[in-house]
Amino acid sequence: MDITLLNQIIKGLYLTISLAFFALFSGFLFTFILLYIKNSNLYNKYINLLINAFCFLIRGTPTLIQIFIIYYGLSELSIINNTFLWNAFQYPFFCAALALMINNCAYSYILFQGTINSIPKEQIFQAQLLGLSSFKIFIKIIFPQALKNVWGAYVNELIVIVKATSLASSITILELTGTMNKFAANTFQPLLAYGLCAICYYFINLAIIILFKKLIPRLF
Amino acid sequence: MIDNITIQYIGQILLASCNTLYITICSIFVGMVFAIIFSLAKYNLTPYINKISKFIINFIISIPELVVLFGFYFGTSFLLTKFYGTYTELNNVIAGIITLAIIFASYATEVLYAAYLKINKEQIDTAKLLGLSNFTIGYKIIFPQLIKYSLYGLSNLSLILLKDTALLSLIGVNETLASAKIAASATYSPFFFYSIAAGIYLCFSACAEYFINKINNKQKW
Repeated sequence: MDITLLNQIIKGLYLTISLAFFALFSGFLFTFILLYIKNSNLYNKYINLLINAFCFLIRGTPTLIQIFIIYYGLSELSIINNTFLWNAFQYPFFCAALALMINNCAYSYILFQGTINSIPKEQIFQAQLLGLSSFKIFIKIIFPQALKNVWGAYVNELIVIVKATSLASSITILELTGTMNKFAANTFQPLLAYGLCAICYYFINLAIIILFKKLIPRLF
Repeated sequence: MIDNITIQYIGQILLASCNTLYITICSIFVGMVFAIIFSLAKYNLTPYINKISKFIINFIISIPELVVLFGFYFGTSFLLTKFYGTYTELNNVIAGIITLAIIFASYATEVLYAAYLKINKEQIDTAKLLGLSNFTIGYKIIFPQLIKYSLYGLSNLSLILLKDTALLSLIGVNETLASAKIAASATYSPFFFYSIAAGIYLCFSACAEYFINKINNKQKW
C-alpha cells in the first residue's frame, strides 16, 4: 500500500462527509418548513394532502431508484437540459445530494410529526389565549419539546443518511465505497478493500453515536 | 410515444418484479432463521459469546448495505477461488438472499428480544409447576406470544427489505431495477422506465402496508 491509496481514501472520506452534511443540513431545513406549514395557521387540507403524497412517494421507493431518477432521468428532460439548471444537474454530486435531501426530508417529517402529535394540546390553546402568534408558538413551545423527544430516533436517521451516501458510488462519485470498489478491482483483493471500507464506516458511525447520543444530551 | 417496443420492455420489467417478490419472501424466511440464531447468541448467558456476537452484530448494523453485499459476494468468491484453485463463485441470487437475510436478522434481534421481555414470566413458572417439558413451554407458550408482540417490528423490517432488493441489481441479479436499466439504456428514455420501476415498488409497498395495518389493528378483512 503506497501513499496514493491514503490520498484517495482521504478524498473519499471528504466526499462522503460533505455529501452527508449537505443532505442533512438542507433536509432539516425543508423538514422545518414542512412542519411549520402543518402546525400553524398556514394549514390547508390540500397542502396537507400534497405533503402526505410526497411522503408516501419517497418512503415507498428505494433510495437507489430515487438517485437514478434524479441523475439519469432528469438529464433527459429538455427543461433541465437546455436551461440554466444544467449548470447544477450535470454534476453527480448535486444530484446525489438532492436525492438524499429529499429522502431525509420525508423520513424526518414523519418522525417529527409523530412526536408533535404526542404533545398535549392544552399548551397550544393556552398560548393562543395569551395572544402568541403561531410562529412564536411553533418555535418556542412545539418545536423544543418535539426536538427533545425525537432526538434518539433522529440520530438513527442521521446514521441512515451516512450509510446511504454509499449508494452514490453507483452514480460515479468516488466517495469511500467508490474508492474501495476501484481498489478492489485494481488489486483483486476484495476482502482487504471492503474490510477497510467497513472499518472506516464503523468508526464514523461510532463517533456519531458517541457524540450525539451520549455527549450532547449531557449538555442540555 | 408508447409503442410496441415500450410495451415489451414494460412486460420484461413486470416479469422481473416477480423475481423481486421471490427474493423478498426467501430473504424473510432465511432472515427469521438467522434472527433466532443471532438473538440466541447476543443474549446468551455465557460471557464470551455474549460480547463477541454483540460486537459483530453492531458492526454489521453500522456498515452500509452495499458494502456488506459487495464484501460478502466478492469476498466469498475470492475465498472459494483460493480454496478450490479454479474460479468458483456463489450464485448471485443466493448471495443476495443471504446478505439481505443477515441485515434483516441484525435488526430483528432487538425486535425479538423486546417481544420476549413482554411475555409474563409467571406463565412459565406455572407451566413448570404443571410439569410441562421445556419443548412444550417453548412451543405452546413462548412462541405464539413472541409472534404476536414482534409482528409490528418485523413487518416494518420486511418493508425495508423489499426496498433493499433494489441494491441487488448492482450484483447482476435480474430484478426490477436491473431490467429497467436495460430498457432505459436501450431506448434512451431513462425517466420513463425508472419511474415505472419506482411505481412497481410503490405498488408493492402500498399493498404490503395495507395488509400489515389490517393484521396489526385486527380489523375486518
